Amino acid sequence: MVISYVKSISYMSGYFFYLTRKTLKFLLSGKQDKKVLILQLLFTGVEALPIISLISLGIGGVIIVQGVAILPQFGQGEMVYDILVLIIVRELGPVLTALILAARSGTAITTELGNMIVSHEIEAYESVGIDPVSYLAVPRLLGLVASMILLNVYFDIFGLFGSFVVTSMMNPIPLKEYLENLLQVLTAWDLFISFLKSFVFGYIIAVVSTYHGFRVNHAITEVPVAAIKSIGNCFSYIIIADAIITVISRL
Amino acid sequence: MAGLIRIDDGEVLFNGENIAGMSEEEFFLMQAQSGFVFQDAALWANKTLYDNLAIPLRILRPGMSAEDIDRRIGNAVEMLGVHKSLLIRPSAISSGERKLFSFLRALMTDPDILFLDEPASSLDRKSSDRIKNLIIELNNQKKTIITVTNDFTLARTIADKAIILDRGRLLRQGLFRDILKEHNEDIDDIIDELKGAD
Amino acid sequence: MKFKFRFAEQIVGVFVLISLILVCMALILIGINKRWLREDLYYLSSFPSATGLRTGMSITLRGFKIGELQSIELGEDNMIGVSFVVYEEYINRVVKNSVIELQANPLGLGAQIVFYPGIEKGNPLQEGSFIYSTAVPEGRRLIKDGLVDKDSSGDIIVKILNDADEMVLSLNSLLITLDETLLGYNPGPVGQILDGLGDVMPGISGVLGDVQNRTLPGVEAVLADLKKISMSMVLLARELETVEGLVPKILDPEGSIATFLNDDNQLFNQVYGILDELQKSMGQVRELMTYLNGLSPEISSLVEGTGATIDEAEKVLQGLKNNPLLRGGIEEESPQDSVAAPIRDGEF
Repeated sequence: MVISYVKSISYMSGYFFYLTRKTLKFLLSGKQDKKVLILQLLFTGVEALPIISLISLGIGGVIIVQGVAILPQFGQGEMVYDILVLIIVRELGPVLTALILAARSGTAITTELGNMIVSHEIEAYESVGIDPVSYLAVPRLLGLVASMILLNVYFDIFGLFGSFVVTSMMNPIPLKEYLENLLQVLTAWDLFISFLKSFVFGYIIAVVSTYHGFRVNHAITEVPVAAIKSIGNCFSYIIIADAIITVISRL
Repeated sequence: MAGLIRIDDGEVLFNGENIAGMSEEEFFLMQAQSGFVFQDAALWANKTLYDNLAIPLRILRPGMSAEDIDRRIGNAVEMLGVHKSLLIRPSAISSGERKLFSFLRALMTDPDILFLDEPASSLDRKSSDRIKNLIIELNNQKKTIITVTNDFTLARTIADKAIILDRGRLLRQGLFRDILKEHNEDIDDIIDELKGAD
Repeated sequence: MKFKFRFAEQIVGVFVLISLILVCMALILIGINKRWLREDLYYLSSFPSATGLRTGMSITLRGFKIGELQSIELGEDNMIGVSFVVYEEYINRVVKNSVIELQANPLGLGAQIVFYPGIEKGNPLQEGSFIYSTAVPEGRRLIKDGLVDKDSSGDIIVKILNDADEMVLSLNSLLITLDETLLGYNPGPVGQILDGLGDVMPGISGVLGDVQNRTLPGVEAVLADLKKISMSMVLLARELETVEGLVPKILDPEGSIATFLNDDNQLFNQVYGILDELQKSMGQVRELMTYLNGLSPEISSLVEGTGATIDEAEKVLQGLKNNPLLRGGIEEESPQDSVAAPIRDGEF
């Protein structure tokens, strides 16, 4: 049990470095098929936008409602902006986006690659001399990382906008004042941490989901198992990475 | 032999080089110089027929213009006599046609060696005849074709050399013509006799 | 082909472009807000305590933010060294004899540093110059000497509270000295104690002056009362400070506890009288506060505090008089009712 776990971790890290090398090569050569990348962005990025914006609007509103209810009791009413930035930009933005992408696109990628293995399509790529990792995994990785970062931006914007909408319902303040208050507490460091997290989470989802996809051997019944493993691993690694980055960024 | 499965024992030489010792780049280069037709066609299901044929060229011949690719695909399709819209997906055509496209895909990069896995199995007569003719024609173009089949009739039509295997054991190898002569041209007899001789 | 596949490139392009624009806008706004491209000048100062100081605190000039506190550190001399920036557009305000002052907001909502420019106009100080804070004697001297353009129209409540605060503080330290003297830790003459009491007086009259001059300019009757109170305060203070009055007697080398207790209660009675007078005045102030209570509970509670402190002083003196070795204990005293509705007792 432990041995097989260690083995799978070492396989995965080997795969991680291989994929990273291939990705760098892809980025440096730039001669490969860009259409795959654009479609990947369409599937993982644009199509996830509605759900991301809905969730972030809601979360932003909820934070401001709770904050306004509790914070003035401590005489810290102004803290609501700090909390908005902290929770939406630095924590929930990247984490929730990552969880949604892992559930939507991570499982889709695992299932797709698994099915391709079962129907010998991966071998077909090999047989004509195309490296399946370069051709299939790399664009998915790039698409996921880019989508993560872009969706995180939308999450932040919609989250902060949602809180503004709720604020103006309870206690109307001009947009200008709201933005000024936010900018008082928002720093470039916050944005950097947010983007760093998105990048890392996107990378994790891509590596884990393609890894489990390629791990399918030959039976179609292995595909759902792989998908379950993929999403479970994605979630745990994302939370662990989030904790590590948060702790380091606060040192 | 085609390098799709890792070698457990022994060695496979490609142009005098052991493929087990090849670097990654050399390996994919070797793959690019050989074609492989799978038993179940293995076309890329989420790509159109056109893309199925064009992708190997796009990736392996980056210098090739879109027009050249277009022309090459046109010629290949003409040669096999397939008259289908190339903008549909593999799921929309029959399994015989899929096999033909798989053949075409393997031929797109003009390989020197062609691996065929049961090229004519589970095909209707017409398709199977087309494939047989294609193999003979390719053979005449001095291409090396290695095929796995349990269809002796097909083997008799196309094969020069034969390696007869039974459950992973090597029974006999040599020129097919000689083997046939030894057993009075009776194909069914060959296996029984070779098995019994063991 | 579906719409989204045919226009995949355009859709993805718009998607990417919008978010890039949003990020750029956010960065530009942050940059403007955090003054990335401005050349702000930094200055140094020092405080005796870091309490209330916080990096990022605003530096204000007449309530207008002109800079912020950047760093706080404990120096070799145990003073708290701070550096702060003044935004480049306000640099010309930073002239010779400028001082800064740490001010706490009366309602407990953080603190700010107030910048008072020097009265003498001239070239702005060089970057890195040292600017005194009012927490060090040099800074106070500059204000006392009238070299600083210290506005009088600032936050009245803050001003009154700061004065009252100072007064209560000195009363407190006076009491501590008294206590210590009685316990024998402080062998010096009792005169010092009373000298300390003398220091308190201007503080009290200062507070009353503030109340009189600024808080209620329109209320005639109250004003009259206030004037009386402050007059008596000033008189008391003067009596304590004058060379011919009390002090020389106290400063006499013989002015030890022994003298204090052995001159037939003469000195004691005098001091006690002063405190009694003070107590009466505080009673008046308290009455005034009943009226003021609605306006500002903080002021009256502070004055209340002062009253309580004076009560304490009286008790200590009485204790001194009735020193257990000579006489007996502290008299029972009926407590005075508080007029201020306790701030923290209300519904939270």
